[in-house]
Amino acid sequence: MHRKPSTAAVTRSPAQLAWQAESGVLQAMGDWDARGGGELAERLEKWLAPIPAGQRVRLDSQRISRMDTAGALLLLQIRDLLQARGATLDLSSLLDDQHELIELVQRVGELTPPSEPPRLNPLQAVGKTTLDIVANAYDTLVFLGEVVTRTLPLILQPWRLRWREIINEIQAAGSRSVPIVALLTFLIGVVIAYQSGVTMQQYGATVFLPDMIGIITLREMAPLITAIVVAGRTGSSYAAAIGTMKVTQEVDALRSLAISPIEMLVIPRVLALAVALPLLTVMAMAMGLYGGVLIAYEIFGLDLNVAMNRLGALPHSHFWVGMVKAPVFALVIAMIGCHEGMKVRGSAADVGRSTTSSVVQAIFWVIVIDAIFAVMFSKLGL
Amino acid sequence: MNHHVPAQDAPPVIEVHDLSNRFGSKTVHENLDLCITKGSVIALVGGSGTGKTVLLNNLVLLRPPTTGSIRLLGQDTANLSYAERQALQLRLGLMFQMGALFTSLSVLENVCLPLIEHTDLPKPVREELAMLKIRLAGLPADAAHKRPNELSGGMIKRAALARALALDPEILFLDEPTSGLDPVGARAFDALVNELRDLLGITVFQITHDLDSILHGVDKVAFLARKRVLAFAPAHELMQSTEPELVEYFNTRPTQE
Repeated sequence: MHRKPSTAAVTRSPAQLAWQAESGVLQAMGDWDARGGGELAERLEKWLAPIPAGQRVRLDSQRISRMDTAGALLLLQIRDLLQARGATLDLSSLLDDQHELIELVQRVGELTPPSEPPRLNPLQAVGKTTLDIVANAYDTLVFLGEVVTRTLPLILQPWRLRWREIINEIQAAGSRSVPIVALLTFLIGVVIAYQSGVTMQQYGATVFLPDMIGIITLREMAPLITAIVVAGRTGSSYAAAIGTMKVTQEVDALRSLAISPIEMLVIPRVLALAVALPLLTVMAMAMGLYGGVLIAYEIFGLDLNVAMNRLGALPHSHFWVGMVKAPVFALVIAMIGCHEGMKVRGSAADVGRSTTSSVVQAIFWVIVIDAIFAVMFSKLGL
Repeated sequence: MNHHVPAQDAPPVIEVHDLSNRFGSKTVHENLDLCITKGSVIALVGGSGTGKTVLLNNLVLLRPPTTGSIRLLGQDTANLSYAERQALQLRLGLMFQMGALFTSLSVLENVCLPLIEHTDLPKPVREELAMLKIRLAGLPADAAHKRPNELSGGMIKRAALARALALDPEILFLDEPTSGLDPVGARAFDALVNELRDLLGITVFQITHDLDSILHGVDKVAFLARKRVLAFAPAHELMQSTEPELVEYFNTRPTQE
């Protein structure tokens, strides 16, 4: 008995059977319904075990307090079990409406559920997965191509862009992410400066602390942290919003009105993020540097003028290396979010799966692309 | 079909007394009374915005009325403990307008869910019982393993009906059961509901806009207007009424005789 019925407010007595060998009467008692029949159904064989084969059994149903289709189903199962042993069950003591229930169950006939569609064997599963991957890659390319071919003419004719949507999306993705991005990059700036400062102090090299904070923050930390926060915050919301529109057939409605969902839903979001993410990155760089320099000054006693001079002496390429990455990250995050949203088919569970998948994929690709950039810039000597 | 008219002395299963519903300053129902006897098939009818769905939600304990009393199956619903309320809800079946099937589960799993949660029945019995309800609702056996998104509109309605019947409810509430069905499918659904009433002795309470259902598929019609049940009588009597709302409702609709 792994689970109890969830409520016991009304007094209930479970269905029971009592076998009276001398009179050949099988007495049924209690609630012969879905909630009362569980225990009996579980041990039906045991209850019926004492009845000898070939016996004519008469059912005494007077003490059945209530009966529904589950009870009728159980009575029929009892009859079948007895018949399998050559015994018979006489159901004539049932009331008229109980008889009707029995007839109802009998009339429906075969009740074993059809066997589930067979599972794929391992070889088929591998093949299907491969085909799925190929189809998915093809889908992604088609989506990418569609977005690009529809964006280019719009960029050449900017008055046809949906500026209102773009501004709204910049507001949602950009200015509302400012607090969290600012706080996180500031804190990471603090942590980097503190951890490396302790070691540099041992060599008396704290004067190089601003160089180090500057290079790490500008080249890697600020663009990466901003992209990851935005992937979690904005990419997921793109997937969820577009996915829900697919479920409620809003996307189909757009198509039926001869409005391209790509132009209406995807392009404004992609362009908005391509503007918002670089702006956020600049702010993230400033906050990271601020946090780092603050620690250099407060904890390691570096003169502020010296620190600013060291920072100012850094080559500008560090800033541009970081800034080049930001719009690429933005495109990747927005496209993945929108594509995952467009991939939703029908069910509510799909929306959740797509949203999760959009975040995981976006962060994955952001880090992979960051690594590719790192290799590329080192080959170029930047 | 053995279409029996419920006896006049059948016990009441739904008793609504002096009920009102207010949303802010907007009053939807005021001093609403309604009494429904066991084994009848009732249609709740009324124009848009007369609060049909609000009343239905009151009756299935999804939303308490602002004031007034509701007795279901002889139990006052006002001060139920959590356990009493759950026990009462198990005796009610509700079919939602859009089906509200769980999209991540197959039809069989949808119907099995209440049986898993509220009974101790072993799996084979549970599945047979679910199949019984699926077949009774008029679905073919091979629909059992389909997901809701693979079903047509009519099949979704039938699967939703099967789930509402899972625990053999004593009152079955249907929210626009025939909307979105073709006329043939809608008449078949009405016949099915009446048959289930005859076979299982359930009381059926449905919101409907389908004039054919109102005229031929139900015993009595509760007509909502002026914030209360303006009339509660068989459809042919309502058609004779001279109340302006009733005249408007029944005369502006083409009847398909």
